[in-house]
Amino acid sequence: MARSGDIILRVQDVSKRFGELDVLKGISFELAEGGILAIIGPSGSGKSTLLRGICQLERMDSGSIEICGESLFSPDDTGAAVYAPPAQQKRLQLKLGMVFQTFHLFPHLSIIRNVIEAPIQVLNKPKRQAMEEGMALLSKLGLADKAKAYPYQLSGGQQQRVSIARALALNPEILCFDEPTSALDPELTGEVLKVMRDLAQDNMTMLVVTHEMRFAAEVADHVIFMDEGVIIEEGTPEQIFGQTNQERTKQFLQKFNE
Amino acid sequence: MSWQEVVNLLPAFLEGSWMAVKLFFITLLFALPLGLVLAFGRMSKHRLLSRVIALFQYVIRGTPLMLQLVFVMYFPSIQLGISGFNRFTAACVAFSVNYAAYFSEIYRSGIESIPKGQSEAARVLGFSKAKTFSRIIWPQTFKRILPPLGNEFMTLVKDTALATTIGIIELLRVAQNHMNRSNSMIPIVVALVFYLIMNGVVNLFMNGLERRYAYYKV
Ligand SMILES: Nc1ncnc2c1ncn2[C@@H]1O[C@H](COP(=O)(O)OP(=O)(O)OP(=O)(O)O)[C@@H](O)[C@H]1O
Ligand SMILES: [Mg+2]
Repeated sequence: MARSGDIILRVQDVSKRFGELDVLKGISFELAEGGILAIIGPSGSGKSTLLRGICQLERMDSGSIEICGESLFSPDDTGAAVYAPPAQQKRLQLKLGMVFQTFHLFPHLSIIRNVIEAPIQVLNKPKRQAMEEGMALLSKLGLADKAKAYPYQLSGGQQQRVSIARALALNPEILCFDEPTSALDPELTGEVLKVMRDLAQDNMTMLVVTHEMRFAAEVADHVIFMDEGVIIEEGTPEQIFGQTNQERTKQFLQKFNE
Repeated sequence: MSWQEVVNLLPAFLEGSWMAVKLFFITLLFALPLGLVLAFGRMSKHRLLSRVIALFQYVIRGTPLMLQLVFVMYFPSIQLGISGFNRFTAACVAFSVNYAAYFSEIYRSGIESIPKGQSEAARVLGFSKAKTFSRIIWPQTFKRILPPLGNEFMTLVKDTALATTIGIIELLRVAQNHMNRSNSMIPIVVALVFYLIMNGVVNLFMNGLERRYAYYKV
């Protein structure tokens, strides 16, 4: 993979079914430190489920996932996923940050409290230190003046930036985004994409499920195209957006060019 | 009845109200926490536990509180041949159990109305289950259930009149006694006013709470 470092996320042959429905059918990929991986694909192809599996919001059925060299789960003799002990799961959870499509800010907490609640409650940081770091993060994302406001008082774009700050406050190794701009009015997507570009500049490792093809083309260094639970194609943005010879990829991308 | 006679009634009415107030607070003291425990049981993944609690809620909510009072009062002595509760304790037990069943459904619907994204966001941030509940889910639930809880509190004030069924001297009984004695409706009107005053206080308190939590929207 293009950028710098070691592999910090290794997904191998991961499968998941919901009842009768095979949602993921043997997904494998790797992500290097500092890398930016965009996952694209039609609705229902399993992109969110994959991200949720990595962030432990969904239990995977088989395969293995390794984060920063530690196993989250690995297959037993029959291939079924066996999860690591709870302490290790929890440790790996904190290596990942997640930004949701619909933000999921905590409505009863002020913006700054949204950002510092986890550092205080989960990492047991002293309140003053958490506060200083939280304010620095908000300033960086251009939200310092909103620190005392409540989520309902912010625009969608601002709320999404707060949710990015909230994830960053735990210093994750990898930041996952699930369609971070899909719930926003078109004129508000820019400010969120700009923050993501800045994070890319800072060498943040990112895993981005997105429908923003321009963003994927410009910012990602690797792109995966998924359909019906399998990876159809992966490569550099030039390969995927420029010269794909996969019929399904072409069809999918065509819709965005109209 | 003359005004003087009405004034002479007041000590008896105050005593009756005091009984209602005691019953009100003791019921809340036990029913509010017990309701939360029941709500957790009802939402438990343990199917049998959840079913048993659902059945319990059905029985309690599906039968008159008045019958439950009589049952708690007389079951020990008549059926078991042991000396049971004194009247006031029996009333407290029956009211607490009855209101816990109602509160538990208010808690449950409140907790279940919080979007799943809230607990998922907390989970990815590393919050334990206990902290997810106490820090994220409960504060939002609390705000949402204030109006239905307020309704129940007002109903509870009025339901204390049912304690008269097992011979407790409270407001309703006092008023009836004086109505019969004086052949006048005034004692009943005075009792109405007393209930209104008590519920006025409940109302003010609940409105105050709602205002106190108006600074955020859930
Ligand atoms: N909890 C669930 N129970 C049952 N089926 C589910 C569940 N979650 C997702 N699915 C199904 O799994 C499939 C993949 O869903 P997923 O949300 O991962 O797709 P997606 O690629 O993220 O789509 P979109 O672009 O619309 O967000 C869909 O058919 C969906 O209906
Ligand atoms: Mg999705």
